Amino acid sequence: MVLTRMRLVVYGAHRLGCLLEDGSIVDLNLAYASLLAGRG
Amino acid sequence: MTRPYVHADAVVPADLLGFIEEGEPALRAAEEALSFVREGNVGGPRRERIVFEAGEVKVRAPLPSLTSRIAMAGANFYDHAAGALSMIRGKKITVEDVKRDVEEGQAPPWGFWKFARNVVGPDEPIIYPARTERLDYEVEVAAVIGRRGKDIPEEEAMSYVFGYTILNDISARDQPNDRGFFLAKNFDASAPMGPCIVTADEIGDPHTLGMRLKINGVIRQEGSMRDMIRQFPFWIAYLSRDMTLYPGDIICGGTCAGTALDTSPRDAEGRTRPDNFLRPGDVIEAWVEKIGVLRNPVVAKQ
Repeated sequence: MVLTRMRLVVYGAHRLGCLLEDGSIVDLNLAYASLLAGRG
Repeated sequence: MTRPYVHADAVVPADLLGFIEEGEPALRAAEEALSFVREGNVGGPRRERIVFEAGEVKVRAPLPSLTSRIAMAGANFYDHAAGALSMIRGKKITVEDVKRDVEEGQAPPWGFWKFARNVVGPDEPIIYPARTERLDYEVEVAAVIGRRGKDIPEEEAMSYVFGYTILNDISARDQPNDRGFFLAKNFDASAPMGPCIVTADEIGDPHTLGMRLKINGVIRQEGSMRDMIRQFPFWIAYLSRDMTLYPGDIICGGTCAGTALDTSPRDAEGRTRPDNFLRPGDVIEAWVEKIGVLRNPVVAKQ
C-alpha cells in the first residue's frame, strides 16, 4: 500500500478532516466535492 | 449540483472507516482536494465552509468504528517489563534479564483487548473509576490496519498498516483476582485516543519513534519504540493467524518505562504507595514523535 502524506482527524459530527500545518482542519469530502464542482 | 456531492461520497467518504476502506484511490483524491484548497478554494459547491480554524470545531478520537478491535501488546518494552517485574517480585530485574528470558523463550507474547466503546478523544475527561485507588497511564503507539488480511506473513505485515495514532492505556492496577485484566483495562474513558492518524509513509519506521508522557507538566515516561520486545510485524502476523484483521482494527505496541506500576515499590502485602498514580485534577499529555500530543484531564466520578 503506497500512501500519501496526511494527518487525518475526525471532527464535529464525526466527519473526516485533514489537519494542516497551522492547526486548521479541511473537510476532505467537501473539498473533493468542491474540486469536482469546479471542474464542471 | 448534487452530482459533486454524490461522486465525492463515493471517492472520498466523509467518514474515517469508509475512507480507510477505499484505500489508495481515496488518499490520492484527498491529496488532489487538499491541493485545490491550498490554491485558495476554501468554499464548498454551495459555498459552505470546508476549512475550520484550530479550536473552532471539536476534534474527536480517530476511531474508525465501534466495531474496531483494539489489541494491546502486554509488557512489550524491555525497560517497562524490567521495571514492572522488579516491583511485582520485590527484587531488581534488569533489561538484560528480560532480554535473556525473551531469547530463551521464557517470556512468551501476551496481551489483552480494549473495547472501542471505551475510547475518548483529545481533551475529553478520563473518569476516575470507583473500582480503583490505583489508576495508571501508558503512552502507546497504535497501528491502524488499512486492509483486510489473514495469516499475514511478517515480511508483508507493514503493508497492511494504514497509519498511526496515540492511545493512552488507562489501567486500574488494584483489581484483585483479575486474571487476564478482565476489569483492569476496560471501563468508561479507559482508552483516550488521538489527536490524529498520521499515514504510514509519513511516519516511516514506527520502531524508531520517541514517546513521552507528562502529568501536570512533569515527565513521567520518556522512551523509544526502539525498546519494543516484539515489533509490529510480529504482532500483525501473530494476531492474524486464524483471525482476519479488518480495516480499522488497531494494534497497540506497548509502553515504555515510567508508569506508576513500574516505579512504585510494593510493601510486604504487595500494596503500592499511591504517590505515582493518577488523581482527579491531573492533566495527562501523551506525546509521540511525528504524531503529536494527546491531552486528557482526569476527573472525579460524579
